[in-house]
Amino acid sequence: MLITGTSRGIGKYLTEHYTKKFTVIGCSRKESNYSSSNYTHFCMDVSDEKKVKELFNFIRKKFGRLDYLINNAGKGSMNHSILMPVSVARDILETNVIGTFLFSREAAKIMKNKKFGRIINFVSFAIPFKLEGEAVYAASKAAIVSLTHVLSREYADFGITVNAIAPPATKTDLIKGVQDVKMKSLLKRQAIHRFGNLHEISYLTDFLIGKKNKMITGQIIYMGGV
Amino acid sequence: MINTELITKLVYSVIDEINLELPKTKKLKKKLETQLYGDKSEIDSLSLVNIVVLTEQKIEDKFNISVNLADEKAMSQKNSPYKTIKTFVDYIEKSIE
Repeated sequence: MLITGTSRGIGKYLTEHYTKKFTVIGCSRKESNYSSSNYTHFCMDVSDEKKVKELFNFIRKKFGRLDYLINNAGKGSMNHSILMPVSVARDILETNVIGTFLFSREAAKIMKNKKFGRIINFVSFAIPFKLEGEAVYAASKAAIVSLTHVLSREYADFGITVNAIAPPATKTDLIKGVQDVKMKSLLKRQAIHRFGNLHEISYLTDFLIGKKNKMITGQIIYMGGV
Repeated sequence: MINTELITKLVYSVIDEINLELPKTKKLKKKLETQLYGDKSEIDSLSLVNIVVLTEQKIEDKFNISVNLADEKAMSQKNSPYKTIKTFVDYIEKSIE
């Protein structure tokens, strides 16, 4: 299994969860402080094509297969669009959109050899809620929705499913700087008015990667109800 | 030294593998003028994807070179680098220069 963005938050939790069952390769810009005999960490930028290809070469040569990819790495920046530097906007798009595209493309090349693969992308309730201050972040996640839809069709004949999860508001670093009042108003807009727990996210990823799950692809699941 | 002959040989070995999965009537001939993409090509887009990906992997394995054979002109009827085996070999040679 390959998971991106494993140094913290949901990615770190999923890494800990899946190293109990699988060999996990993870990556993030920062070092990871997690260690397990089932885990190998790569320090890299997910939008750096050269590094991404090196990582996938390593996986293909060492394991000869890749069954699961979780495109979790994501970058956000709360800021009014008028005040957002284009360098930050580019970084968000590179990490979220190009990173997801590159990892999916390279994963499909390996997965198709075994005619089996499960790709899970991460999107956000910033899209349907049209969150102010998240213009570029929401746009990047909307692009991932489109990628999920189109890739699910392009990869279906290779036995690969592609789905996306919008996690519920979860207490991770990504929302650390968001005001309490804003979070409360966000929770009110979810059908289930509470923070999500990390184990509730892994319950869904477990389901989506399951070998029996052969017919669910191209779906966007908004946890917490949108 | 990697030259045209070595690359052609490598592409032919890819064609051998792809032919194993193609029906008898659609098997690709190992000739430079064989069409891989376009009106006269016998194969579908999935087989073309398989050829490109398998070629990338073989280049990485045999020559230890990481190469990306994706191209923006891939689906151009006129200028696709995948049009024939010859154009594909030329394109690979340029890509790994």
